[in-house]
Amino acid sequence: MGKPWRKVIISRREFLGGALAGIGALAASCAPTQPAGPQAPAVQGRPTELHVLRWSSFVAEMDKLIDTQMQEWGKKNNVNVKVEHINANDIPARLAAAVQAKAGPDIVQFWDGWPWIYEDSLVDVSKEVEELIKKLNGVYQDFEAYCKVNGVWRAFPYSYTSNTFIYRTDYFKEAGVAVPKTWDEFIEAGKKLKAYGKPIGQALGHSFGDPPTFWYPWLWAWGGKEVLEDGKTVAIESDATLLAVEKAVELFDTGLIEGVLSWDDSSNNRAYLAEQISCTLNGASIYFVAKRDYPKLAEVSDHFVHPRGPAGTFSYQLDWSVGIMAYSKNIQAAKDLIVHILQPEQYSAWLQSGRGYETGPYRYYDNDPVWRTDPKILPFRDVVTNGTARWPGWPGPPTAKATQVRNNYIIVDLFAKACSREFKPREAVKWAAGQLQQIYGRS
Amino acid sequence: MAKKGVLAETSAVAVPKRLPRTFSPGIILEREQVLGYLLMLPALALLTVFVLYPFLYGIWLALTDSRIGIPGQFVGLRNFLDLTQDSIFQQTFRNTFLYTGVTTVFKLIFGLAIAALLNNKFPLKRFVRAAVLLPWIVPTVLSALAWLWMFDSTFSVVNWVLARFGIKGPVWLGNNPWPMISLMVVNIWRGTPFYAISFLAGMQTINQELYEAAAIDGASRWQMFRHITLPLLKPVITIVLLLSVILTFSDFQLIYVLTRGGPANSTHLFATLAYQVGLPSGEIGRGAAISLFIFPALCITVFLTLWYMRRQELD
Amino acid sequence: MSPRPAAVLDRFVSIYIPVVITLVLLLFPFYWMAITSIKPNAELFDVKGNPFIVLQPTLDHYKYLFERTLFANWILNTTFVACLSTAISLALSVPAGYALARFRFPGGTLLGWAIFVTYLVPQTLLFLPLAQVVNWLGLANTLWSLVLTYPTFLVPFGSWLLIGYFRSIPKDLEESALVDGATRLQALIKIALPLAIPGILSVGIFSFTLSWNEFIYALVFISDPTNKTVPVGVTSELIRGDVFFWGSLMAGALLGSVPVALIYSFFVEYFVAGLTAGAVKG
Repeated sequence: MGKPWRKVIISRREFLGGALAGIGALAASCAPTQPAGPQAPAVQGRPTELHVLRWSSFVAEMDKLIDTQMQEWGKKNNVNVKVEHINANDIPARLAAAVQAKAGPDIVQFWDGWPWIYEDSLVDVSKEVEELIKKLNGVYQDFEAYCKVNGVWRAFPYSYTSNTFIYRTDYFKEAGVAVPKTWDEFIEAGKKLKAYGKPIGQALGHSFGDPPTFWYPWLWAWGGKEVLEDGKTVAIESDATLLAVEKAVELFDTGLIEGVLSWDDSSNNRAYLAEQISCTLNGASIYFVAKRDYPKLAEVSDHFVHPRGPAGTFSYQLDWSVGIMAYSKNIQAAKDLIVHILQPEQYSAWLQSGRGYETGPYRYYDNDPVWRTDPKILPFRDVVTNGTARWPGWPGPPTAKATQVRNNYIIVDLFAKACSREFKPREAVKWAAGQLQQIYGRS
Repeated sequence: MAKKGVLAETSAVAVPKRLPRTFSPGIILEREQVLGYLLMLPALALLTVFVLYPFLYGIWLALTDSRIGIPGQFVGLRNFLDLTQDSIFQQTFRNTFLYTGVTTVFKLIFGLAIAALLNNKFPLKRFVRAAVLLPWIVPTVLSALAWLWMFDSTFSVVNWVLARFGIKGPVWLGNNPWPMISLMVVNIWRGTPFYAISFLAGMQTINQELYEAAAIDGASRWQMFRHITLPLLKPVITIVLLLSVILTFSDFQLIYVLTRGGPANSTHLFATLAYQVGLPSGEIGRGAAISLFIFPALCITVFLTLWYMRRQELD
Repeated sequence: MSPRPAAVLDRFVSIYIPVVITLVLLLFPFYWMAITSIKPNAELFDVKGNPFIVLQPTLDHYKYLFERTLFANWILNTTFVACLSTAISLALSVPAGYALARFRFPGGTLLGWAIFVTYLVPQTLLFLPLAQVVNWLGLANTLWSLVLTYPTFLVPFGSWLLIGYFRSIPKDLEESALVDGATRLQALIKIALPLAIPGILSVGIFSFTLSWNEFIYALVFISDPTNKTVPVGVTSELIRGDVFFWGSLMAGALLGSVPVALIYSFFVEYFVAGLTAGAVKG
């Protein structure tokens, strides 16, 4: 490992003020290079290793704070904590390889139904999670659905990157549109806004966040379901689904900006900041960038939660959970670390560093001081506390099959295929039914 | 010691004669068989360690219903049979061949044209040649991001330019057939330099006298190209095509960055679909089966190309 | 000798103008990267202005790249990995190529095919089990994991190109060396190798480029941020959720390719002479 430049760069980085990250880098460069081979459990003087894999959050301050919190804990407990951040879209590849090789990060952050996919590769953390739930006044139902797999907690509910509709108050006023209470009103609003020249923007391509988080609730609100409560019987072929698709086509034609078929998670951020659209479903990142770079835009922006459909009000939040890999050599230390960062002393500070970008999954945090900082971000909490959040596979559990459906974009493409005119609505439903049958039918 | 070489060999192709029986390592190395194996050993060892096991394991995966972290049951060819029934896979299959076919033809044409152009003398020639290579050097992920930005439905600079000419540009990555076309454009942009520089290499070895003689006979530039350059370039063309088809067929990064197979699966290639099915969706057995479809398809292509090359050599 | 005006015009139409058009088409994305990398964020998202013009150029994105990310590290890592894996690949494929080109031995052709066929095995299939192998060897999270796995896709084509190249070198020279008492190894090292240098160089350049570009292995095998390569590091740190740091991304793309191109400009003549010259002569 003779890499002479490394020392130079690390010292330079520290000089440049990235002291926190620098510690991590130093720790990493001192670390033994082969993670394989059994390590003696925390012998005095010989620190244990914990490798944490997380996504790169848009709010760099949050990443930095939690890295520090973990490393401080590590120093006290004689544990070398390495924290790595990568692009969320790349986590599946890393995780799959780690599980395959039975080596890699000890603690992994993932989203939605992953505990179901990795059920066998994750440590049972029921005891710890249940204690946390008791201490923190309960956890929201979607998290329970995701993390409690067949009666066993396979991951710690960690945080929501919740999404609401950000909209331009000035455009809405000028176009004569009120905040929509129902999806029908939403469609009508879209017509007026498009006529006004500032349509709605909603991603309809393949990307891990925005397209599913909009189109699943859309399906549910009109009464569509992919499966029945048993989580096995495909139920997509219904009049309700057909209605949802037809309404989607109407929205696409009359209310959405051109090009949404190509949109990924970042497109609506750009379009909104460029003042091309008046409304879109997103996390708080748009609002935050506006506040930082375009204060005038932030002034005329506000948020609203999901409208109601004939079948009820539904949302689909991005639920981050944290799991411990079964191959980890330091399971107890990993559990301790996660429990530690979920304690109010640490977690509340972390929430506040995000100024509302992330929301707590435990009810204790419903009234966290962060929600008193800016009234415009309150909807990001309300969309969680109003209990509208569901999960792919609802009304069944978020099984591995449901995640396969989600990650193969079947529901998104159901709408995309109709909107792009590749299929008539009825054919699109048939197509989706065929795909779902295939996935749910496979053993 | 010195004269033994003479005894042993007068012609390199000849079957080695029996050497005097003084047994020493040096003599063993004089045997074609021994030295041949020895020289190949390092390469074979590396490939055995790093490719053989993963490859066999991949084949095994494709024959099971494994999911990530859960060893599956042997299911024979079921994954493959399932796939042939799957509309998404069928589309991917068509996409891959279309993508490889179209881009290869364009890269070939542009590559030849640019090579012919760069084969002339002009100022700053060295700089221009290096500059032409740039698209091929920049890491694909990053150049694809630049294209993503240029194709953005709101900010597309391409559409901005088109708008100056009164043309309303398409939503490049959004409305069919544009997403596939966009991917092809980027692939062609990226691959053409390799073709051009390689062809240029070939052209420079062609004897100038051939052209001079043809010029005396009154041949046109096109005739010279058609009857001198092209035939003499054939071996180069085959090698370049071979390398390029392999890389294009299993292309991943470009699509991964630009569309992830969307919208509605219209741009999936084998590699991206295999990734989507195998990793984020966890059906690793099925994903491996999709990956494996690349293999026979490529083998056929490559064997045809090589067979053709052999035949050319014999002529 | 002053050329006639018609000839000048002809050169313009047939050479200069096409060269310029080619360059514009091929280099436009780089121009775009450059423009984007010096635009302040406020101008990036301004759809009203002329996108080709930067009103207030800024170096902030470059600063961010060097001060807030480990970009310098990544560049060095990528260089280290690309150089070493290229060297290893050459060290393995030169002898293999030579043996396959010159010697007849049982199973030789078969082995040749076997080597080539490994090039066709899709990476998407390989990388999961390969992660296992890398881990068994204790290479996980080291640059060596890349240095040793990149040759798996470099050696096969390298050997194949070099077979062609060695075949194009006349045997007579080596044969007369053998007659003069040289050993076969000497004949390889002293006679064939120097003659094959253009071919070796071009294989080297090709290998270097593929290593420089690689994404999946680098993503999967390396976890330590200080050990990442440019493509993985840049996308990990500059794509944060649904926000792309466009300016810095483009700065990274530019800095990750232009220096290499400059180095290439010295080698390009060899590349031109080497890649397939053998095939043409042969």
